[in-house]
Amino acid sequence: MKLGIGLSLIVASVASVLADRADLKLPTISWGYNFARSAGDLNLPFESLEWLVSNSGLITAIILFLVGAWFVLSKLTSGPPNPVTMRKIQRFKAIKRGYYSFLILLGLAGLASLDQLIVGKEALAVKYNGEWQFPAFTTKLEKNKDFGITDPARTDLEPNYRELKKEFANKDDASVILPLRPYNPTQDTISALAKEIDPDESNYSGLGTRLYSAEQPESPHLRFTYRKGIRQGDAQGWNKEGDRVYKAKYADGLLVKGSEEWEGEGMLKDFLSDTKELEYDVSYPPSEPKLSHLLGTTSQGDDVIAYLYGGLQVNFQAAIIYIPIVYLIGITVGLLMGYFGGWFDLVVQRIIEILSNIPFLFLVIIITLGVPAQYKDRLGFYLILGILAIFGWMGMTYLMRTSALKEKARDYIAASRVIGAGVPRILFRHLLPNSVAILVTLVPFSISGLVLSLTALDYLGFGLPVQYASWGKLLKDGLSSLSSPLLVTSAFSCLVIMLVLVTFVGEAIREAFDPKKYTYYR
Amino acid sequence: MRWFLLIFPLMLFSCQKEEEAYVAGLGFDEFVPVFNEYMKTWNAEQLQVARDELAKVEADTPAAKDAEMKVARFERRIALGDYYSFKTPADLPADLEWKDGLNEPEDSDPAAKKGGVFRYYVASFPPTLRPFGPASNSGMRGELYDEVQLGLVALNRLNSSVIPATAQKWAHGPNKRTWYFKIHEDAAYSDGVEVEARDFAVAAYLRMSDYANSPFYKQYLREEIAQIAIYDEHTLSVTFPEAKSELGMYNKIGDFAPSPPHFYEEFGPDFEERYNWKHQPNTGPYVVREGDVDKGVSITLTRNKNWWGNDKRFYRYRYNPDKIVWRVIRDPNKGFELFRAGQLDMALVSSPKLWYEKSEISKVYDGYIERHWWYNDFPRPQFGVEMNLDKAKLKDLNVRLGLAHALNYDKVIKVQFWGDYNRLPGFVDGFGDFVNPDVKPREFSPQKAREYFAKAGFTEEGNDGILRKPDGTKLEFTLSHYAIKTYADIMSILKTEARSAGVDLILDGKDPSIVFTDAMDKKFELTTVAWSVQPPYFAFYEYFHSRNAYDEQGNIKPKTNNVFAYNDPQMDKWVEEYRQTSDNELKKELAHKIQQQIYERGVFVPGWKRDFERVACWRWMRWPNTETVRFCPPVVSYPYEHYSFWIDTEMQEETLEAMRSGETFPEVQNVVEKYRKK
Repeated sequence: MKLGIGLSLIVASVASVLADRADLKLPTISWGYNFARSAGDLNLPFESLEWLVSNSGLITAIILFLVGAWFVLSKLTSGPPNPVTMRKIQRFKAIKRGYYSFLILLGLAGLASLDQLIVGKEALAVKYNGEWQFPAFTTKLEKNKDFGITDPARTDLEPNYRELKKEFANKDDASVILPLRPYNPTQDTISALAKEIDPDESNYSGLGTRLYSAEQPESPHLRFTYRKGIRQGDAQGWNKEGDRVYKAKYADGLLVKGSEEWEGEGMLKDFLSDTKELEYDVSYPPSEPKLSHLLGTTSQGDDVIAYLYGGLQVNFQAAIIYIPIVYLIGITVGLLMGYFGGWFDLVVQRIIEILSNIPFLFLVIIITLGVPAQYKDRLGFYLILGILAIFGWMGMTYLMRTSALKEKARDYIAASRVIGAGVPRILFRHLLPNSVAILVTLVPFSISGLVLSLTALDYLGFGLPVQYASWGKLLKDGLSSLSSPLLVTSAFSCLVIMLVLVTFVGEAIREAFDPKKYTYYR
Repeated sequence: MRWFLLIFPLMLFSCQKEEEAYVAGLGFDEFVPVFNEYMKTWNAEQLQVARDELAKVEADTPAAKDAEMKVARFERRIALGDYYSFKTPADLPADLEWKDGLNEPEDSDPAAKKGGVFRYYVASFPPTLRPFGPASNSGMRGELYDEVQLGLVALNRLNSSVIPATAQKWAHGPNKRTWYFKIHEDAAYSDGVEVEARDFAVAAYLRMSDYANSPFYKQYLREEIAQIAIYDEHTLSVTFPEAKSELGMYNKIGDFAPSPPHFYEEFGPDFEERYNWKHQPNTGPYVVREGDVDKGVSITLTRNKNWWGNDKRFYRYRYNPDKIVWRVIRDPNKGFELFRAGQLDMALVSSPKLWYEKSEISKVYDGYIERHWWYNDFPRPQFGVEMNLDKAKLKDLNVRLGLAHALNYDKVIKVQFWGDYNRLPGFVDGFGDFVNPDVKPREFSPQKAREYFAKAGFTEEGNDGILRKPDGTKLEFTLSHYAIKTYADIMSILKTEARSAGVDLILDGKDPSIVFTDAMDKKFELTTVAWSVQPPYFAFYEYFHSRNAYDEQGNIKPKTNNVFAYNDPQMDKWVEEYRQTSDNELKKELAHKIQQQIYERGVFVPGWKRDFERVACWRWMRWPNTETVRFCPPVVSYPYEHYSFWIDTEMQEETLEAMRSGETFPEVQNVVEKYRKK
């Protein structure tokens, strides 16, 4: 398994470099390069930071390669697996609840890593004029003119692949293959959703609209008011340009004589018969769900299913960055504190006390307001994670310190000191492996803490920039639009499911790694 | 024991702050001669400055004319005498033609009944109850003072004519610079003390005083008014530096209300704290009693049944509820839900989501809640995008025009506002003939936008679709906006649409007060602030005069409404002339020219406007319904601000009883297009 992980990391890093050379973007693997592209030309205060940002693709690839190589090498050079560890893993697998939650989480991570393959507004493949193009995988932005659109108002615009698919439907040698869910998680506004209704049959009370085109529900033709299936009250009509040109009144289903007002060009008769007698219930964002959008849209018009997927991705991305950083710092400091003790321990403990007394939320608010908008836009994600990391590393220092203090007193540490082992070797080769149990148990709870913090920050409005989908923002949106209950319920359910799964895994690990079953105390 | 002896002396030296020695008391009588001296000196200085300017300028040029007018103005001011003058009725000119405005149409309904309780809400508890001084602008000044008290004269909301308020009659002197007022003999404050003409001078003094800490009033009262003269207990006059028409007089001092001298007996350096939670008695019908201020929760106003205005024309059918309760509710959604539950009497449902979806409920179908759609004729807030000319990247006209074609407000109106709202034509709208009909918004066209950007040098396109110059400069702007939901949704649409024109709009959502202060300090690239403006005239000076953009040293002048940093000599001239002239025709001409230039410079991209207000209210809240006044007269912003509605307590009981028994009423959806401007 370790070999498998290592090899795949190496392959991924090589693939990302090659893809960047070929101007391609692969799902998840090209994450570093995507970041470099979006934030590469920012003017940062330090030269070194700028270099870091613009080369982040290469740096990520190198890190991945090194980690993968380390896994492979350590697997190849190590002996048979440690039976204690094997037993622990077996115990973990025996706890069905935790094991299955772990598998589901892995599945979700796999789903999240599929990125633009399953959720996105760019087409996976477009065949035009006999040639195949792959917009979802190219870094270059395609234009409408590449696909034969000659309307001067649209030639230079990015194509709407969903519409393109419909346009190509009648052509023979042109086709469009869209992802499973052809909507972007954010910034892909769906103006309105329209559901066909039969007011008479369903005793409908509300508004019934006739549309010029079912694909453009935001451009209505006629709108009638219904009470219990009968036309009652005001009716309005718009021309194709969107000007309101018609007004009328209905009472008990019949047009009130003399109430019609017509301001448009041409004959009223022609205007009224411009569309079929089919009526729709048009729902503006946050839109009511219909078959093509099972959960409706958010207040900004993003498809909720795509948005939830985006939020899932963000959670995993955050975890991948946050956990290593926080654990690296926390473990090192904790072990050092425990090992050295004395003055070092005292001083660092006081520093930690001071840091943990800084009100976290105030700092976030101050930083959010102080950072210029440009940085917030491109680097906002990493900024927030940075702030969370500054406050998050302190949690495990106490645990590592305790573990180090406990182990320090054992004979094997004294023995290794006598042999002449240096501090890093004692820390990382002797102390750390014996404290792994604590660490591994802590990881899932750190993840759930991270997800909750991110959600809370987004809910308050201080979190991620607009282009990141986030469950916290959906929660906030849903709570201020309680008349669209699906928003709140979907965000809430996703959060609960995610956190429950993580908690189950954490509990299972804790039970599996419980030393009491194997440790004998004399 | 020895320790105690050591410490004991230290305890004797307690830290006592020396109390600031000031003389408590109104201080008006002491202030008058001091200020008159100061104004003499100031006038003399300004005259010298004007004379120097005249000497420098070439004869017979427009600049010379302006300089001559300025010299004349200050010579007149000096000739007037003391700023605060105390004269006798003998000093009144002989042949004054007094107007009383009683033949103007009454803008309320005789069917109004007094009584009942009106319950509504504000978004936040005010930081102060003071009518002036620090933070008084951002509180409930409208609900507590401006809308419920009577100033000198008022504006008739049907035809924008001038009608009496505290002044029963008014007249102008031969040169229309001086306007004379006779106060109602029975005018009194809400605590019963009679109003005297001197109280207006006191009001001016209080606002100009250092203790009030109000730089706006200091400058305004010093420069816009040349003299305040008191003749007897009920007669006063105000002299302006330049002649003013009747509407011009209303514009400058119509809303000026008297201040009760007995209330300000403790006026002093600690005015801000001492008077922070005291409600000033005023000429209006509502009192705030002790215990009616529940900090952070609500403020209740109680009607004075013996109000002096009870039988005065224009006021007898207004201010009808016996009690008005203002609750503090932060979330407007919660406000709507409380209205549905019957705890509030009214809800503003102008937004399409509220009108077409949220208020389509059974209580409306059963007639318990009535809905009104009322078109009004009021100046519109400038919803749109303002550009900061001080930023280098916006100095190129091509960039600004390209931006104008890259902002798709039509889509915003369609998607966000369901097509119910209209495109705002320009920076100024709702001022009748003063609006230039040739100024129209530029249409959304990515093609045209790209052409302009290409002219400005943004010829290459990056991989992400954003245009850039050959040297790598990206076409990106920070767009500051209020961090509230409606704005976030709107900006999101604008950002996505602007991408198709090659522009990257970086959205920067902040707290509304911060966005506003940043805008006034010109710390933004693009911003979306809007002001609520009052009729009858648009005050171009504050928004477009270079004096409000840069100071003498060439630094940006903070805290002014000139958010554009607009700095154009021709505009300066037009704006100054507009401000000074009393000739309505000339004013209109200048207004049109000013708007044309604003359009040509492309500093403002007009967004949307709403020609109407929509109100849902419980059926016991009744509105005027006469030949002339349907629902509410047109020159009002929010209909309840005119206070011509009333609460019918009998209907209230009837409705509550009907809700219990299940009896229904016919649905009411009242569309009032009587005042609609096509």
